[in-house]
Amino acid sequence: MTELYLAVALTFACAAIIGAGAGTLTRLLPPATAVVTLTVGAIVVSLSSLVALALLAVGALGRNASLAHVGHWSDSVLRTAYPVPMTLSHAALVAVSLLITYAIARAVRSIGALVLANRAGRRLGDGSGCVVVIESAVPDAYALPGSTGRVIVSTAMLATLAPGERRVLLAHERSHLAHRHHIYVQLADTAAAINPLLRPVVGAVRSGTERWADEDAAVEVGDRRLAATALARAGLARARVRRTFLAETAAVGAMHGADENVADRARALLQPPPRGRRLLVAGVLTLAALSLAISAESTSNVAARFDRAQDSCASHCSGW
Amino acid sequence: MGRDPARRDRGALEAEVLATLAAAQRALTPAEVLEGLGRDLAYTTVMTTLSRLHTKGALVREREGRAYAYRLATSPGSMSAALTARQMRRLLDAGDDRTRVLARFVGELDADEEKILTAILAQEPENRGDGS
Repeated sequence: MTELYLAVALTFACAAIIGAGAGTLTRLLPPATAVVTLTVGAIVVSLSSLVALALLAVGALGRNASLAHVGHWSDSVLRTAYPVPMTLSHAALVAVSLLITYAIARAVRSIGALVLANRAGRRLGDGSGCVVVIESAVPDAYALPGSTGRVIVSTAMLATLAPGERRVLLAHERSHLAHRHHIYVQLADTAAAINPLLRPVVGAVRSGTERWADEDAAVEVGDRRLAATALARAGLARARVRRTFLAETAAVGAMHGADENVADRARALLQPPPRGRRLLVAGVLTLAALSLAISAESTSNVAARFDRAQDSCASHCSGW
Repeated sequence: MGRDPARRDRGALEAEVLATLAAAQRALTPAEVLEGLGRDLAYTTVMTTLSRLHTKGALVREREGRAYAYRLATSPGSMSAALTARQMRRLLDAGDDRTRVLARFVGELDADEEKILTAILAQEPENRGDGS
């Protein structure tokens, strides 16, 4: 029976390692590689750990007499074949239910926000192309994902930037839309809801998508330094306005996390682009494969125990 | 995604032209637009893009001497833009930090970041386009 506990411990350990290493990974790897690797790793590990936990919870259900009746297995044989303490099994059942509910709630919220964004994008019509200019004294720009992806940019932001820097801004936002960066962030968020140890992955994936778009923009304008000054000028203009109209921008500022560090992004652009490190990618994918294998092995193990309980039920359960 | 590169480039250039005109906040001649784009392009390419945007109804043009000058068809302060701004604000406020779907170009800075960014700009040979 210890292999069931071991499966939970190992899959959660994989999640903890990926969570702890996520920030370093986005700094060392090319951002596109980091984002894809982390998102895939987080999804696989979160689901594996959920399965491992669910296998502990199965015991509570398996020894329920009426469920055993419906499922044609012997609850008494299962009790000896599957000796997980009932309290532990019940605790696992509660934990699994809570995690699934929380993950679904978050996924539903994400989808709701995407639907809202999509609707807003459609309502902007197609006459104005993909750029939508908003009259505002606050320098601001963002990508609005959806079937008609939009780049929303304020007049103050456009006036702040030099001509070449405006190209950087547009190429950056276009990269977000073209590569569907919001999907990676939402997937990482759902994975972190399933396994809270993966929480740091969300911030790493989010800042990774910003770096990804920065690198794409630098390639498009063919000048890393220009991409860095665009970030610096936009960031400083925003900070200046924020000080001047503190009241007006209070609502805008409230929703910022510490995930997107503009200075780090600008500095990264002044360095040569990061090279691929196959070993790091392989490490994350190995952890993912390992936890997948562990949870699959545990699942077949538990299924075999239920089979045995069913066999003995066929030979001596009465009333069928 | 999945679109041919020529069409994507065209869309990118159209976006840059719109951004240039919005930044100027007045009608620009093709030559002025070319200057505002800040990259090497043929004059005819700019002309073609401007007339395509005009055909689409995104730009209006007025005669200025022998050439046309172009400006945005809807001023950014118009009714629909104000509506958009309100919708965006709602969207921004609705999502918390983790679920929000909008990717912003730059966020807020702390004091250290401001120092670093100021230093990066100070290294620039020509300090251009500072809107303060």
